[in-house]
This record gives sequence, C-alpha cells and structure tokens, in this order.
Amino acid sequence: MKFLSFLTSRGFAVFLLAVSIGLLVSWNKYPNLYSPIFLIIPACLFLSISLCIANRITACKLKRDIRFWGSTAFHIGMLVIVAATSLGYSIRFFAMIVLPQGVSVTLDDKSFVAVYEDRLHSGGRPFVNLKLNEFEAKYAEEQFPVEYIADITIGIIDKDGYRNLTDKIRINKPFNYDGYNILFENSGYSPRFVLKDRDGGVIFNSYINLSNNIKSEDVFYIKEAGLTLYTRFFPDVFREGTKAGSRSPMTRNPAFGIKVVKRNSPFTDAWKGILKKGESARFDNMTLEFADLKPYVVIKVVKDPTYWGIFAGWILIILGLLIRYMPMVKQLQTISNNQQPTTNN
Amino acid sequence: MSEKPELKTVIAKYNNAIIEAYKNQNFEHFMQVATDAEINKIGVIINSFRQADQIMEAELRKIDFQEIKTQGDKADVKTSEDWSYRWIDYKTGQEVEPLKNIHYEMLYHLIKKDGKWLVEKVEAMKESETR
Repeated sequence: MKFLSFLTSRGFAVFLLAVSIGLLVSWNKYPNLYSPIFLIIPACLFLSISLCIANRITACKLKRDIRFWGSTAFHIGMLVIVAATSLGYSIRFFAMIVLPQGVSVTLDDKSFVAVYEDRLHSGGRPFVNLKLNEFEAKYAEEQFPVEYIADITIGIIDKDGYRNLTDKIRINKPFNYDGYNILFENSGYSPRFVLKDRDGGVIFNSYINLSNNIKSEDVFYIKEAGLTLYTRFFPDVFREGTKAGSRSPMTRNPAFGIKVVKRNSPFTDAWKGILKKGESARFDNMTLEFADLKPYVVIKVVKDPTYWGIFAGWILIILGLLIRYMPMVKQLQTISNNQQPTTNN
Repeated sequence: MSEKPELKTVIAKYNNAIIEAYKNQNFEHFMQVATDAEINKIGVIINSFRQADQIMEAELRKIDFQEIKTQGDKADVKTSEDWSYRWIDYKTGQEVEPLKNIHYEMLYHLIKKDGKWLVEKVEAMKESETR
C-alpha cells in the first residue's frame, strides 16, 4: 500500500516529469542519444499519473464537483502529452533534403538526403522525387531579406498513380500532403569551378559547397592538382582600388575572391584575385574558371501524427486549470467585493 | 505484405532516372532501378544520340498503373503514361525537334534481385501523339 502511495504521489510524478523533460531536451539536441530503453521513464510517469487519476476517481465517489472534473481534465491532458511526446520519437518521420536547382533527388539518395527520424522504417512514402525548379530571394531596400520562394516539383504516388505536383514553398508556408509537411529551411548558392591543364584537359569540374557568408572565408581542396583554394563570396561585387566588397546580398554580379595556394608551398600564393561568374585565371600552366553559380534550397520533410496529441493535451490542460481554479477566483472576488469599505459623500 | 507500392515506386524512379540519363548522361539513379542488361541497352541508345550531339529534355506528366501481376521473383506491370519531350543540340542549345506530347501504353518486366525490384525489360505496347 505504501508503495502504491509512493507511485501515485505528486513528488514522484514531478521527479519523473523533470527526468522526462531532460530526456526530451537531450534527444532534441542529440538525436543519437535516443534509445527505446529510456521510454521506461515516460512509461512510469504515464502509469503514475494514471494511478493518480484512478485514485482520485475512487476517493471522490460522492463529491465530484466542478473542481474535481477540472483536475481530472488537467491530468488526462498530461497523460496525452506524455504519450504523444514519447511515441513521437518512435513514429515520427523527419528528413532534411538539399535540392540543387534542376537536379531530381530521390528520398533514398544519401548524397542529398539525411533521414534523422524514421525508427519504424515506415516505407511506402508517397514521395518519389523532388526537384527545385526556381529559387527567388526578395529583399527590402536591396539589403534585408523579406522572402524566400522555392518553386519545387514533387513526384507523388497516390491511389491513382504517379503525378508531378508543383508548388511554391516559402518560410512558414509549407507544402502539405498526406500528413507530410515540406518546409523551407534555408538556401544558398553553390559555385562550379573548372580547373584545366595547359592542353585544355579537365582536372576538376564540380559544384562546391562553400560558405555564402560575405564576411567569412571558406576553403576547399583540389587534390588532383595539389591546390588549396581560400574563397570569399561577393554576390554583388564592387572593386575600389585594391579593395573588393559586395554592394548588396543580391546575386546581381556574383564573384569569388580567391587565393590559390600549392599544398607543397603553403606560404606562397600561386594566384590571388577576384573571379566573376564566367571569368577565368591562368597560373602555373593551369586555368581556373568560375563557370557557374546555382541556387540550392534545404528543405525539411516532417510527418508527426503526435502533433495533434500534443495540441489536444495542451487544450485539456488549459481547460482543466480554468475549470479547477475559476470557482476559487470567483470566491476571492466575492470576498474582496464584500470587504470593500463603503464611502459616504 | 503487398509488393505493389514498391513496384510502383521502382517504375516511377526508373522513368525519372531515364529523364536524367537522356538529359545529363547521368546513370547513377538508373543503376539502382534497372538490371545491367537494361542499363546497357539504354546506354547504347543515349550514346548514339549523344554522338549526333542530341539530348532529350523530357517531362513525365503522369503514370497510371493499370495492372500489376507478381509471380515469385518476377512481376509484370502495365501502365498508361503521358510524356512530353523535345530534342536539343547540346552544343548549340538549339531545338532539333519541337516539344511533343506522347501517350504510351507500357509493359514493364521486373525481377527481384537481392530483395530489390529491378526493371529488366520495357515494351511500348502503344504510342500516340496527343495535343
């Protein structure tokens, strides 16, 4: 009996709740920490609250006033939230996809897709492939980004067959289909550099993932030629004497500030300068060309059926608290009104 | 468990891989959904067009799956497909053949290898130009 009292005690429930919150925060930050064995803690919390509710119902057989129902709704709301958040980690689907413009990406393509949560390995997803057709970034006063628009085509298999659906996704305006949300996460530009030898033979030709930050430098290596390239992106380049910068974040006149260093001679610049899109530089019998600049977007694909559970749980909690404490507030108001001194003019 | 969703997905992927292969000579996706014999067959066709400096830009509008029959490790799938495509000289970027809308009735023969369905052979049963 003592053990049952302990299990249904508020102290034990609060302790379990604190541990569960700690687990949820940790899983959110470090998804690799997740192990189904930890679900025992929210399961205990669920059991503790359930026993607490059962206890109250049996204890208040005769005196079930409105406050009793408020308290019950509050606890059922907690049960729903505990169940939904704990199950969410097992049944949720969550993936991040990089979509370079014009490239059709399938969900099993590990070069572009990282699936973070799909613990039940729920196959048979309706999406076959996704493609970025166009990307547009809108700026206010040519400085402040106000909108990002990604025009994407999504190949979907439904009961009628395979279809291509095209939609424009924006920040906070996702594409919804069959419980899946496709959300715009972020975007950028990826340059293509081509390095040729003196006979025109291609040594290197690839799109590179480089920082788009105007204020910071990035680096990449061309192993085939033993070169290290330090880069800085200027979306709207200007030159004043020896200095260079970007007039705006808009890609009107894109260029890269580049410093080429040989790996066997790291303290000497093989070449240093600015390459606009389409321009090339010659050094050491080689030609480096900034051949192209393509936009890409990063999208998030989420299916979380537990979302509605959390939503319903919070509504129950709020309603429960209102029902539980509203009579007390009214009582206090009545007492305070009765105690107000009357003034005579 | 029903094999139908997987077969439908493989056929959709196969057709998207064909588009990519014809346009960019990229066979990476194709290798995941077709047998070696089918890859070689399509590779020869694409190379012959490439030698004539031609690439195809295609769009798959829809696939309706008409009939799916499975027997052990083999499956036959009949589809009805709407495509549009045009041919382009990849050196000049000029259109060699204008955009056409084509309706196909197709029969796909698939085989299961190492637990994975692959397209083994494709037959066009009916082909007609649409507006």
